[in-house]
Order: sequence, then structure tokens, then C-alpha cells
Amino acid sequence: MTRVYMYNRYQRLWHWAQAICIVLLLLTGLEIHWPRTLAVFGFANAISIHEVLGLLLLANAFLGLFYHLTTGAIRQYVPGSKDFVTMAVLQVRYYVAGIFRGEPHPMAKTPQHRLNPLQQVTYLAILNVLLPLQIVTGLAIYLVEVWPSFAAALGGLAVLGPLHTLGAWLFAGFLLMHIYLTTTGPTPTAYLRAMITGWEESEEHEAPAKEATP
Amino acid sequence: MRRLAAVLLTIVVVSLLTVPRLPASDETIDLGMHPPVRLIDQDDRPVLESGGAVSPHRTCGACHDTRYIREQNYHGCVGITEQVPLGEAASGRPWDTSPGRFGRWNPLIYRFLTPRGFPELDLGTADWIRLLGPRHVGGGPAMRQREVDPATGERPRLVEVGPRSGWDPETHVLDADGRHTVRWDWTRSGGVEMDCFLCHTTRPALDERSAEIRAGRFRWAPTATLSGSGLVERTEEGWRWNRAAFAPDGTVDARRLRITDPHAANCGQCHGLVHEGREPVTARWGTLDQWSTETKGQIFSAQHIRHSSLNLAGKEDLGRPWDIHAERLFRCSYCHHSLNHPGYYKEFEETKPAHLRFDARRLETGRYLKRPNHHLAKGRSVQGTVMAVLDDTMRRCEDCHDAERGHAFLPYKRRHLNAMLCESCHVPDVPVPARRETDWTVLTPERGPRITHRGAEGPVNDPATLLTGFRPVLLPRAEADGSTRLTPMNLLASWFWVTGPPERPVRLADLERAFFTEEGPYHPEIVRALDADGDGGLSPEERLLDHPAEVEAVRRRLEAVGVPNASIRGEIQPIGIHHGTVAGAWAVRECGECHGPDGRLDETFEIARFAPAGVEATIVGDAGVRLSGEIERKADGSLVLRPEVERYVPGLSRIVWIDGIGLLAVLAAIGGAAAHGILRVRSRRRGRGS
Repeated sequence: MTRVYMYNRYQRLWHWAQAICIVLLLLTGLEIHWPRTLAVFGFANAISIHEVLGLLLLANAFLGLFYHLTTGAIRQYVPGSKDFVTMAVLQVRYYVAGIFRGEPHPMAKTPQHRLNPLQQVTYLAILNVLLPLQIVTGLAIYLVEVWPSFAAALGGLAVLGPLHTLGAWLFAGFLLMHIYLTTTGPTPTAYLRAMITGWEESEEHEAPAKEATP
Repeated sequence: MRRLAAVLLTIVVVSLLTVPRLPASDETIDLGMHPPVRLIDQDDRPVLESGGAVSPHRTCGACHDTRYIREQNYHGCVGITEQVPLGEAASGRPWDTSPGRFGRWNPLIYRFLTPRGFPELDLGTADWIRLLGPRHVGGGPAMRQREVDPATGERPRLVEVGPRSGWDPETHVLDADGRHTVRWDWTRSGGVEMDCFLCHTTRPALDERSAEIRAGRFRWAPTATLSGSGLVERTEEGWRWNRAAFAPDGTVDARRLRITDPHAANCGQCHGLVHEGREPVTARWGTLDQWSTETKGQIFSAQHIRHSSLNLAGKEDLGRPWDIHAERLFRCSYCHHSLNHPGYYKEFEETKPAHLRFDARRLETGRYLKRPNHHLAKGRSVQGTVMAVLDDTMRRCEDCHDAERGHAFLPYKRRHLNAMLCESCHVPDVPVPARRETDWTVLTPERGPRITHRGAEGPVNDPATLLTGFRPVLLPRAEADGSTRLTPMNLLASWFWVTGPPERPVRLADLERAFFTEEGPYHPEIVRALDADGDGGLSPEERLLDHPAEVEAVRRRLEAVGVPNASIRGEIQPIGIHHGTVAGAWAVRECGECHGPDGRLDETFEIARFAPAGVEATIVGDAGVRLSGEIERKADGSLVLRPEVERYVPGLSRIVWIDGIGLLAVLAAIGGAAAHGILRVRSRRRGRGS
């Protein structure tokens, strides 16, 4: 095992900001959707909090995009490897069988290649489909007061509302899986600690990970 | 000094005795500066000379253009200028001939103004006047049908279908038995002139006027209206003018006539209960004299509700006026103004020059007083179908109130205001009962319909009955731009027999013959069919047609009295509720009232306590309202509406399959993670897993 500086300060800050926003968005969204079942903040407060969090999430998403574009970190999300399919199969096989036999992760995780093929596909879908869907539908709903034609052009609230709800459900599903998969590191809390401290206990592979510059 | 005081006292006493005595002017009403009036009869002679009936048209016409007023006046015309051929009425009823009270059948009133060519006469014009004239200002059908157009020499066209019968609705009425038509003597009755005194004097004698109309002495109706002024009194020979009440020159002081511009009480004479006094508000239901009170629980008063004499639920907490605008001393005419009133005139964006913010040009006061348009500005109430071309001419809430300022607590203000009328929140409830259903399918022993009210826990006029009031149902109403806005409403259900062809309501006289013997009690065949307990009488529960066999029995009786092809129709008339508004503190402010299940938007609303067997009720065609949702007939025979919200409302609107997919995704994630985790733990315990 080697200790690698996997996540720099900005990446961790960005991650936890997104995490807090998404969790609270899901909670307030649940209250807006089922106000009689879940009454924590009160309906009007839930809407106000949801709006503010949504705007914070949007701002953070754009900052993250800027960071990933300017640092080139965005390449991590692009499944460009020639043996992508082979590696994806290996990763699936690991989760289905290898993990139960104590086999090592099939992919070497480095600060430059943190994402395995399955993660790349998932984040590609999250960042290119689900997050934009939530942002656009959420913005259209938010702006319906001052820019009703925008919402109308997208089908009106009757379309936007259910789409936004569907996106929220999928986000909730992703969040649960994401949290569970953080336990699949060398120890159940290794990935979580890495996202807090930046340092990750990384498994030795044939091609050892390069240590990142803090 | 004592002599001087005595002289002064004498002068004062003599002055008081010699000054003409005038009725005490009303405390709160400015009787203005109207000049003295010479009362003229229809032959242009002063009534003091002729002793004849006063003609408001001639009397007021000395200064005002009464011909113009008479024509620009939908309150008088009540649809006669908007007549349509049979089958083309917007109401969808095949027998309606106009959108107004003269031609648009009303199931609450029931009698049917029969067009020419129908097989039998129900209501001729003269009977229409006798029945509805007490709540009609006069003119229009009460006069026009008897006038010849001086320009063309023609009488106005009436709707005609089929071959002419042996009677004419213009010249005939049904006799007292309802069996034969008899000719009406218009020469003797005259017509009911448009009665200026009814709306422009402070205390018109409405009862006396109504009595003259019901007695068929139409010409004398406006004279009777003045009977409270001391100018005229009823004698055994008829009405007699009181010369002493007139000035020596034959005129009448305007203060004696109590001439003023219309106050709420004037409108209330026909439209519903207006209460202006200090005595506690009281009201009665079941009659149509106070129309809006009966149909939607409307009471226009500044008095706080808790001070009323009504047995209201939670009365002690109702420390608000019946209507906030009454408390703020509003008159109806502030919103329902004359269309050319220089002060209230509202120029519409469509006609206003685009470069002008304000068009300063106004009708001069003198010209306005000469020719005041008596088409009063109106809204778009679903029941106000007459003169639809004038819809939305009145000043609405947003013309006076700045909703942006007064609703700081309300997010998405425009969205809310575009989705619903202000009344949706500012009429949170109606504290008194209103009519729910009118069932003519089985006549009561009093030979009337079965009537029920919503908002009363017992007989509605019993002082011991707790009046709970009701929460209006919010339904989407069509707006001018094609959109819809939620509007608080009452729903009036009606059940009645129709016959045909041509399709028409079964005459009340025929219903009476079918249900009762000539001696009075129910016909034996009716008793045999409906008397479930065999006691020989019909209890209220037995007077419900809850079985097809009972419907068939009544149908046979109708056939026996000459009514073929009888069937039952059900109809729902929405009644928009736009009065009884409350100030913000009493309005709906809790989001959860609408944004959540079982709230104001989706709560069930009972349409009828009982619907006759196998009969579906349909909404009238000209309401501009969709009964969004399902009408469900419950096991007890009642009919309820389960509203379905058409717009997306956060907290309320849900798509089942989306929530289903979402829940499945979440459960799959939880289940997958749990199963995977357990397997990992187990394999680790076996020393294999990670």
C-alpha cells in the first residue's frame, strides 16, 4: 500500500459542496413533493431553501467545469482508452466476483486516472445528462415567474415538474450507490477519508501510481 | 328682553310649522342637487292633472335621454336584444332563445317562456312579467314587445318555429288552472316601464311595486315604487296623487323623491341581501327574492359576522365583515359603473392609442348626465351570460390593488395570480348556506321542487339549525385570452322532466296534474309507486326516484296527462363567487391549503344529496367552466365531484409512474448495496473478500 495525495484542496471542497447541496436538495425536494408526509422546513421554506441550494449547485457546477477545463482534469472523465471495453468488463467482473475473493482492483487509481471505466460512464451520464437535466428543468421552474415563455417553450410546468422529479429520483439512486461504493476501498472508510484529507491508501499494482504533488 | 325672546321663539315655531315638511334624508346618503321634478304620465301630461300613472320615461326624459338609456341597458333588455334561433343558444339547451332571463330557461324558476310554434304554452310574456317582473327593472320585454318602431313601423322580431299555434306568447297566458290559454289585455295592463325610481331613489317601495306587477297592473308599477314618498297612495279606486306633497308649481322636490345615484341597497333589491342598518344581519333561504344569497350565500354588509343573528358555526371567531368592500363603504357602482362614466371609465389597452399612458379626454359631466350609458360594467361571472360582449369591462381587483405590494409572503406572485382569481384566496369560505340542488322530478306536497342547501346541519330556516357554511369549489374558468384561472364556485344541480320534440321542460301545470288529483292529494298511482312503507303517504325519503321502476311510474303518469316521451335531465349550473371577500388577514395564506393532497384544490365537493336513478348531470354549455375531475355517484345516491387539478401544482401534482420508477431505482440501489455488502462481509469472514 502506498499513500497517494489523490484529491487536492479544491477538488475536495468542490465535492463536499456538491454533496451538501445535493443531499439538501433531495431533502427539500422530498418535502416539496410530499409536504404532508415530510414536514421539516415548512412548504414555503423548503421552496426557498431548494431555490438557493439549486443556485449554489449551479454556481459550483460551473466553477467545477472551469477548473476541469483549465487544468485538463476533464480528460479523466473521457473514456478514451483503447481497451476501455476490456477494462470495463474487468471492472464489472471485479464487482461481481473478484471483490468477494479478495482480488485487487483491476485498475490502478492515480491522481491522473482516478476513475475506472464504469465510473467514467456513470459520471459521463451524470454530468452530461442528469445534472444538465436537473439544472435546466429547475431553472425553468424557478424562472417561470419572470420568464414564463422559457418554461412554456420546454413544455410548461406540467412537463418540467415531473421531469425534474424523475431526475431527482435518479440522483437519489446514484447517491446511494455512490456512498456504498466508497466502502469498496482497501478499508470501508479509506475512500471517505481520502475525500476528507486528500490522502488515499492505494493498492500496489504492476504499474504503481505516481505520487501526486500536493 | 323677555318680549324679544318671546318674539324670536314665536318666529322659530311659526317657521318650523310653515316650512314644507320633507322626509328626513337618510343619514349616510347625500341627496345631491337634483332639480325639482315634474311627474309626467305616458301621454305627456302632469300626473296631478291626469291622475294617471307616472311614466319614468317621460318624466326623467325631460332632461335625460331615456330612449338611449333604455336601449343601452342590459338590465332591462335581459336578453331580448340577443335572441338566437332555437338550438343555437350557448347554454346548450335546445329550448333556450337568448342568454338573458328573457329566453334563457332557469331551473330554479322553472316556468318556461314558450316561443311561438311550440305545442303548448307555459309562460307568455305577460306571465313572464308577473313572475319575474318584481326583480326586473322594467323596459325591455316588459315594454318593447308592445311598441312599434316609429322608423319602420315593425314590431321586433320574435323567435318563431314551426306552424303557428292557436296562441301567441305575446298575447296569451295560461289560465289559473293551467289548462287553457287566455288572451292577455295589454291595453288594460300596459307595460312595465323601465323604472328609474327603483335604482335612483333611496327607499323605493319594492313590495308595492311587486304587488302591482303580480296583479297585472303593469302600467302602475313605477307609481307604486313612489308610494313610500307620500306623493301617491293606494285607495279603493286605485292610486291617488297627493297634491299636498307637490310644490305649488306642480313639481316635486328631489329630496322628497330621495333621488340619488344607486347605492348597494338598490342593487340588493334584486341581486341579494344588502344590509346597511345597525340591527343584526338575518337572512332566509329557500326563496329566490334574494337571488345571490340563495344561490351563493352572498351577504353584502359591513357588519361583523359574529354580530349577526344567524346560528353560525364558530360565530364568535368571525370578527370580520361580511364583505370587506362593504366595510370600506363601497357601492356596487364603483366597480360595476356606467360604461361612459367620466370618473370610472376604463380605457382598454386594445383601443387605447399605443403612445398614451393616460388618455385625458373624458365625457363632459353634462353630456354624461344627459346620456349615461346604463350598460353597467360587468365581469366574467359564469352565471352572468347576458351581454357577453361586455365581459371584463368592470374594474377588477387588480385595477385597484397592487398585488405585488400586498403579498410579500407569497412566492411566485405572478404565477399564482395567473393561475387563480384573487377570490380563490380572498373568499376562503362562505359562512352561510347556499342552494345545492333543485329537484323537480317529484313535486313536494306544496307543489314545488325538493330543495336542499349546502352549509346547514338541518332545515335551513330553522333557528336551531347550525349553519356551517361551505368552502367553494375551485374550478378552472375560461378567460378572454383562452387561458383558465381557478375561480371559487358553488354548483347548483337541477333535475327535471323534459318532453318533446321539440325538447322542452314539462310544464309545471302538467307536473301538478300528473302528481296530484284534482282534490289535492298525491295521485293514487304515484302513491302506489313511491310509497315504500305502505302508510299511504309519501315521506321525503319516498319522494326520491331511486329506482328505475319509480321513474317509469312517473313517466306513465305524465303520459296519462298528455306529456309524451318524458325523460329526466340533470344539469349543473356553476355560480361564481366574487363577493364576500375578506381582507388579507382572513384570506388563505397557508401554502398547504393548496399544495398538498386533500386541500382546496382536490377536496371532494358534493354536487347533490340525491340524483335520480340512472340520470347523469351535465354542466350548462355557456358556463365557460370545466368540471375537471370525476363525478361519482355514491352508494347513498349522492353525487360528488372529485376535482382533478389540470395545472402542475408542487406538492399536489404527481405522476404515479414517475414516482414508481423513482422509488424502484432507490429501492434497487438500497437492495443492491445491501446484498452486495452482506456478501462482502460474509466472504471477508471466510477470509477471502476485501
